[in-house]
Amino acid sequence: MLGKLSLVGLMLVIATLLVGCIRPMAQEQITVVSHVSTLQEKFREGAVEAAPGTTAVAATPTGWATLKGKFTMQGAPAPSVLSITKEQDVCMPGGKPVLSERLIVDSSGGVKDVLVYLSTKTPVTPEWEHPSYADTKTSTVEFDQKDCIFLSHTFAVRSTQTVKILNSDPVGHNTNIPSKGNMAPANPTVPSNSSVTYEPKGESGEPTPVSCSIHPWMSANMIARDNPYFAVTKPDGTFEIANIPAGVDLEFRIWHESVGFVGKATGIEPDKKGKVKLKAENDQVVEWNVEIPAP
Amino acid sequence: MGRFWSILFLLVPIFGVGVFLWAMADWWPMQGHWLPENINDYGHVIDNLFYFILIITGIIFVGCSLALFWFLWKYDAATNTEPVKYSHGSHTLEVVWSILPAAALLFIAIFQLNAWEDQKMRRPILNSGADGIEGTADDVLRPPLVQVTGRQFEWRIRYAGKDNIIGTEDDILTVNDLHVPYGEDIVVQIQSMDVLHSFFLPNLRIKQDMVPGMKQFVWFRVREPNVNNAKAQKYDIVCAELCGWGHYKMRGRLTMESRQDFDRWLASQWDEQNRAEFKLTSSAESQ
Amino acid sequence: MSKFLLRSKFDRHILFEWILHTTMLSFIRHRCSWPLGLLCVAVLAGCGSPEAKFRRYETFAKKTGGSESPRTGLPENQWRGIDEALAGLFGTPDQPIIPAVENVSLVLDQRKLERAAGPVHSDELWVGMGLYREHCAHCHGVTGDGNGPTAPFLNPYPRDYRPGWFKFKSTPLGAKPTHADLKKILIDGIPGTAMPSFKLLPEEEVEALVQYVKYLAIRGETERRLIVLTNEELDEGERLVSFDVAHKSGATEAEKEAAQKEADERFAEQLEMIKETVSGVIGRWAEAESAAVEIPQRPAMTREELVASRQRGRDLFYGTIANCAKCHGDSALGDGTTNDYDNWTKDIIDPGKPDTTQEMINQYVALGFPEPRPIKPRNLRQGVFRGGSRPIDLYWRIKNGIEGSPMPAATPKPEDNPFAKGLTPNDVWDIVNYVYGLQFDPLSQQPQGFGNPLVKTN
Repeated sequence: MLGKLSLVGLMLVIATLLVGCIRPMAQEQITVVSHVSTLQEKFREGAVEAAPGTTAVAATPTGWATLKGKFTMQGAPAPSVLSITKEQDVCMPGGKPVLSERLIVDSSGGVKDVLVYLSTKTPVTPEWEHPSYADTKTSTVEFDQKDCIFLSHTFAVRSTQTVKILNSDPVGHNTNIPSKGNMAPANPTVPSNSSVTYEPKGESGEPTPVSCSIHPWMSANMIARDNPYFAVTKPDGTFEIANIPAGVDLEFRIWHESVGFVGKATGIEPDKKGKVKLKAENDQVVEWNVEIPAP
Repeated sequence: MGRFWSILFLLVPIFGVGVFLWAMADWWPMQGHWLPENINDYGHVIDNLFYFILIITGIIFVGCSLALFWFLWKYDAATNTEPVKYSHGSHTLEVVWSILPAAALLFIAIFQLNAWEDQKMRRPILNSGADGIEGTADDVLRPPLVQVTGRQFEWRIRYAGKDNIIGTEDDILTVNDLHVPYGEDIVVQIQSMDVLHSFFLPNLRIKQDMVPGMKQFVWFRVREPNVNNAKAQKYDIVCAELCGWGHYKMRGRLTMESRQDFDRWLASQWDEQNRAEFKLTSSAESQ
Repeated sequence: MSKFLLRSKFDRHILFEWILHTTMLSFIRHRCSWPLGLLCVAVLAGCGSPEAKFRRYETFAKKTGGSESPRTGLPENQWRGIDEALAGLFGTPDQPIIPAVENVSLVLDQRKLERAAGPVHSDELWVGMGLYREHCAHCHGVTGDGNGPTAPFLNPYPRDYRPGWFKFKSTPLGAKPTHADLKKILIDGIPGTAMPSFKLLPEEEVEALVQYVKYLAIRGETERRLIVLTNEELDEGERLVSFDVAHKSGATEAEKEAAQKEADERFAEQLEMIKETVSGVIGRWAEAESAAVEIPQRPAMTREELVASRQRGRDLFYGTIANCAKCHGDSALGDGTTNDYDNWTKDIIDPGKPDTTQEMINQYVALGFPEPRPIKPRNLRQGVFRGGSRPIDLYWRIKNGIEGSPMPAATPKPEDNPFAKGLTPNDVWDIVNYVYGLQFDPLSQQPQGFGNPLVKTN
């Protein structure tokens, strides 16, 4: 009897010990041996050549069109109040509560800071880039902060542009831009009432969250794109992208901080990843009036 | 079966003593299983104490084993026809076997006092103070040359530097690599940053637990080997207290070298520690 | 409970290899007593462990896929496409291969890699193999995901190599570390963390380990990019590499041939895409070797000048140009900003955002993501500097910032504009001098950082 009890006890102890070692882990890889050896052989040969003419977009634009519209939302939740833990004299002017800019909807339902951008990989050639964009190719754009708020909450630039990060506050900031895609990361300190420059150098497929380590409640989103076809909606929810390539199949993506990629909407038909197909006629003005469901 | 068990038990002392002698003789396959070379001038005290206790316990071990063998042989059930006798104990015998070990232990405790003091209390002195008599309260103790801090799982080493004070700006920092000069009394201050470790220098016969929150000292002195242009000798530093999953990683290296080499090494460490320039072309390799 | 057990896995091979190492190797490799070693082998022979495999980067896939994606981020079919592409490029933990792309020889060395890979064993010449699993895997994991068996017990967590970010390096933010940077970390360890020093390992073993860490980082970065590729570019359910040819039943020879041709073309395209991805990653590593930031020499100083330099450094520390005190605290105890997270956490989920719920975090924890912990600004009064305490180490940290952490890079003062705000190299040296001196102040005082005036420095 005793022997049995101690045996059960021992097994319980061992079981407890083993359970202690178990924790959630990602799944191990599953591969088919023949597939892997084929791939290894192919890679080793170095004879991996793309079939000609399949990677590039086949058609070329026949002209230019305009994409404009408005994003609205009904029943959006009220913005939350941020907790300002430091330097309230600067960051909370007048002691008024500071509201989160995650989702701002105006009285007409217009949603601010919806990002619309061309996600099709387009060649960087004159046929694909309207002359009106030549000026902005390497220009400098400003990204300012005042009262411990990034003045552009969602910010889009061309990857070839230079961003002048301004600090219009009497206190120091730093602007932490983590890497995303080929966009270069940066985290410069921005001395008070001063500025630094940042070059994205590459594009990213989705916005990267920008923050200030000194004032952790500050937040913004930044995206850099190789092509010039992007827009961020104004406070009334409207946007316009002029001179988009016409006569070709394009794909735009729609993103907003509160819902991520906009996978559900009325007025357009995005897929689950927020992609909307578009083929515009020459000089056509495509108008989107989109309602996004509240998060 | 006959007397199988008694013979088997007789093998215990024979095998036991045999293994010890075999290892001491350094014969195959037991090479390197006896005490490692002692290089510490003060280490023989520990070795002597070890041998002394080994002999006492050895004699007792052999005696007990032989007694056990004799009883098994004499009262073997297969050959012994006499009926069992029961005894209600012997007061005298019990007193004897209580007093004898107690006396032996007490003797060892008193006998080793000197060794204990040498290892733990009589820290080498710089000079004998105002009264000129060694061993009095005003002796100026030798300051530690170096501080070794045990940490999961490495030895952080901090040399006191020119001012002989640990914790000042001229300290020299390194890790796992302890260099010490020959022919000098060396005092090492040992500490733990996290859990119990034990600072074990097998070749110096030093083994001291590092207790978190305690500052302790160990000391030794290694005579310069009588070889012309003696090269630096390297010895192990190990942790002798199971301190966590990475206990086995806590290996350090003790390098004994001449004062000259030691000073040169220390200066090179100091220079590296104060590197205040980096050029791509020249130093990309050595960085 | 039973569901949890079923879903959970347990890194048996690491545990067994670890036991094997701690017992057997300490005898065999270091002290040459083979009878005892053999005994251990005999005892442990029954505990054979399954072949080690790389684990999927499910947390990243889940993050990339968004809330609509399956539990592990991608459908199983797409996962297998990524698994096979990675195995084709990088092999397995036991048989690593270096991807055959341009410039790879500048970054990786197959021979050294093999020394560090595989289970812990010795070859015919008693050369120790499997160094990564001997020394590193129990914390950093076989995959280099920082999720080995001992990882949950450590604070900070062991580094996850897969995003390819390394904190302590001589190169600017965004660049990869140099070979020498990684080697320094292995040799000196990282004080203040569980990363110990491997100074006493032979040079070639350290080399092999650095190679293997780079290999795992490059593999991880490639996996991230392939996951993004799968998510962004491929159709729903489409595999990254496909081996099947779609035959209609009753297809004619010509139709079959056409289908085969189409499949071949698609396959070639897929390979090209994968190859481009890995080339991009390797290119960044190759560039890094010449990207280290040069440091102008620190001005030579007398004791008085040093005190004056530290006074200037102190002013900068509390000023609005360098802004050090904002995070490291007015006391320099690292108590200025304590509610931020590092990029390894924020990359997957940012617990600091007001709308992040515990339930969202738990989704990732169930995939092996470590419980998020806020990152601490360094307490500068202990004299413990993780990336090394040499003046050049501190200079690099201040000048370049620390990758993956909230520590920003100093803003240099433009040379052409004397009115612009920023730090000159000598300003940075002043801060270095001040910060280094902080450790010698008594903790009961406000930080002065002027060091020990008893000591002469040269």
